Amino acid sequence: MVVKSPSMLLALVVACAASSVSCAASGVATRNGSVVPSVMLAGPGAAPLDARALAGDAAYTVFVFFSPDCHCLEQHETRLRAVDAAFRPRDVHFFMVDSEVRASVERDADEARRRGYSFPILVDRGARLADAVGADYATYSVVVDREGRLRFRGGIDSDRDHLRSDAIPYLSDALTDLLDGREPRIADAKALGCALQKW
Amino acid sequence: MSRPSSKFRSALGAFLVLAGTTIPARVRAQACCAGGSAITPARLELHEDFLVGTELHAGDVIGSYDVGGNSLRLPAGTSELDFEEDLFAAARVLRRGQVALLVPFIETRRSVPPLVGGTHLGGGIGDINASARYDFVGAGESLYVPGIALLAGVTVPTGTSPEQATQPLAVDATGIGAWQINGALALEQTFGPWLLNATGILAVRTPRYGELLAPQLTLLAAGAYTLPNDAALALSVSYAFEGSATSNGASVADSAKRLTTVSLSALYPVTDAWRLLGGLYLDPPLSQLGSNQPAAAGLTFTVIRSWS
Repeated sequence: MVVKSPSMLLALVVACAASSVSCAASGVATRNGSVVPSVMLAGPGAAPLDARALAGDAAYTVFVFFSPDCHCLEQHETRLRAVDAAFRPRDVHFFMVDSEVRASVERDADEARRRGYSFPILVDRGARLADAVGADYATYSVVVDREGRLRFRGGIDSDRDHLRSDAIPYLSDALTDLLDGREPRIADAKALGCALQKW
Repeated sequence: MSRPSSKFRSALGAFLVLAGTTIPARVRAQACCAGGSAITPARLELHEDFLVGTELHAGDVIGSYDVGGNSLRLPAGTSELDFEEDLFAAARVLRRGQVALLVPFIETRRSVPPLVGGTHLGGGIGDINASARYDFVGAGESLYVPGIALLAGVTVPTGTSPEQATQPLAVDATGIGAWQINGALALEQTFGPWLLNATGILAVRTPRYGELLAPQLTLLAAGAYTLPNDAALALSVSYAFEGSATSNGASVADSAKRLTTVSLSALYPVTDAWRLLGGLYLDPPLSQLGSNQPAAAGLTFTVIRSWS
């Protein structure tokens, strides 16, 4: 979109003010405990994958929102791999989700390979899953149980891009609590990643 | 010594620093964590809720522009050094809205030949600025629409105006002696590690000492590049101009001003909570890049502590 005149720009500002949902990052449509809607995600395989159906394949499923250029996410990849390695044996499945407007299956497959991910990056066209779970930032993670209920949402941990040893491991703590039969000690945590370019 | 007032820059500077007509520094792709400012610092990054900081300025007047816009050297035996220490804080009051407050302390050292007046140093608190910023769209949130922010601010004449100054060479002048209301529109967009910013600022002032300063318009264009370690470099050019002041409805001769400033800044995020900024600025001593203003060159250094 090209802004051709001051009046057009002002009209855009007014439009944004009138509709913060469309111009600002989306609000949270799903609360913890509610069921994640059926959203089709494109992956490396030929057939699209239903996010809700994916959740039924494991005790808990983790969706981490991805942006290929986000330094904050890159900084967390080692920690994310460690969480995956720790919880995969306990029937927890991990997926990256690319909800950005320029997402493509081919590019994300290359990214997953280059980054050495042990989990795929799934393309969320139209950012439907992101909007459904309130994901506005890369590193934002949600944990969904086998029934498709949202049990945790927030950052991987309390760090942004300078990692500290005393960071609060939000995602890891939530998985530990859920697998031990407790509610997460923190079920809503702040995510400190880059803004997702969803439109 | 007759010299154009250097408070033209100060009047604008407070709003620039606080209101954040700034280059978010961490712009790697979609503004990782929405960038601290590589040019002007007191803008909350994407996830920050509060910050405090200080910015130190040291400038040397290297010449002036006359009313016709000709670049002039300083007269022999004269000099001016300008110093400023700003204390500022910003707080998020809405998800996309923030407010800020800046308190400047200004010192001036002017020197003229001994027979004319000698060397004098003075200063004090400057004009305090309060501002607000609302980002309708953040830079990089949309592939097609740039970040759009509206800004508003007020500068309170807490400083000493040139007319109130009592020390020789008016070295204790630290303000413009009028209330100033500022409004601005800022557009910015990210392109990979690059960020481009265009900002327009309009300032209107209340009457002072029987005259009314003309509205001041500032246009600022800037570009920033973020390095893989999240440090950032930024280059900006600003052009500020105002028409003639009026007194009793009549235009005051030779009172219009304009000034072009080029700034180069660098930001280094020490941790997620602490960041340092340094910068160089220059009013290029080239004719027609200013009028009725001193031309200066200087340094800035900023320390910021933030909370997310």
